[in-house]
Amino acid sequence: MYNTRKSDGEMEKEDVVPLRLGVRASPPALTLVYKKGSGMERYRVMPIRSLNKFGSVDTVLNELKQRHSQYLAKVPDVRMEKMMRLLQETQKGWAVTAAVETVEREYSLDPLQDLNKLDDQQLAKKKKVMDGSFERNRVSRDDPDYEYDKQVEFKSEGQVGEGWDSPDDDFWG
Amino acid sequence: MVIMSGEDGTEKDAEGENTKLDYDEKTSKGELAVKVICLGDSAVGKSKLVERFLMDGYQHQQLSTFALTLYRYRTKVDGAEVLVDFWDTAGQERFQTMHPSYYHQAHAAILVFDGTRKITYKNLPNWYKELRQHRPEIPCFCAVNKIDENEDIAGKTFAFPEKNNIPLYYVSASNGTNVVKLFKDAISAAFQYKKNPTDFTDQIMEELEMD
Repeated sequence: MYNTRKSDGEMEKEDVVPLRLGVRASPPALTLVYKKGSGMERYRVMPIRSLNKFGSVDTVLNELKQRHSQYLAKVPDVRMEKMMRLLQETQKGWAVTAAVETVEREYSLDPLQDLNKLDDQQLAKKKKVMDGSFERNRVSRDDPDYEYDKQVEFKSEGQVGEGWDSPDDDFWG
Repeated sequence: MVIMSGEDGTEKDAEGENTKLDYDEKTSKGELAVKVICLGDSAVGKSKLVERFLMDGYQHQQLSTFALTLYRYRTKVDGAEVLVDFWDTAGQERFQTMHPSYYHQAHAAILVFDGTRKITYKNLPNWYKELRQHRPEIPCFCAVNKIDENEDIAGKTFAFPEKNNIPLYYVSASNGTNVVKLFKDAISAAFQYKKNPTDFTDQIMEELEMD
């Protein structure tokens, strides 16, 4: 029978406010500082089992999200993914600072990097970062500001170029 | 996404139309079939733009294959029933080149670059060159996407579209700015081109057919 009253689990999910996400190297675990309602800060350690040093972290991440769903529901996937990548890099023997550098590079956008040259997994990481800003600025159909055919005119007269053109560019003009 | 298998084994869309169309022929219902292709680097937002355009609630369908994603849209142009297929790359752009079938019979092209990543602008000439090798005359549109993230770029002039006489649209798939205008203009140009094609290859085809 479908019950319209929220179950206890759902109530709790709404109450958990994630504050800080971290990772513990040994034994491997994801850590979360969170608040419940108006209560005090709490700390949760979520053990990470069977994470492979190489390859995708997706499976392990999904397991973790299911097992701790009420705590992790509001934590963006990409944040957890980065933590697990950190873990992988340290497990490979890299120092924490080097691991942080590697992971930061993977999940940051360099405007001059040619993303056509990445493989599926690498590209997926970049797209996840982009999806973050896409969602933040998104005006969706339920939004009061939503207008299907939104038109804005930009005057190009008197505008200074963006500096994306250089004199030696040849566009077969 | 709805794909049905027809009695003869060909795939059909929800309206019973073949998913693979000969764009030179009318559809089985007598609609004009128009093909609009999207071009540009990985992650410039090509799919997101098409999806934003299709958010008007009309029926549309998405058909995915290994090499491309097809968005089928039905509309009216100048009172005529038109079936529009938007072809999206599905990652094929990473080979730095598109299969010739991607360009085959296209009636208009939308060239997209990312307003937050200069490299995607620098790669435009490659896409344009390939497009013109296959389709020398079809109407072409250029869109700089993600202007919500880089507001300074809106209204700036860009030498590439200017020199090649390609209209430039400042768009955002995220907040919707100018997306519908871009696609409606592209559909309308594709429709006009279809009624009055000027591509040399098309002319040859017509002459061959007349012989």
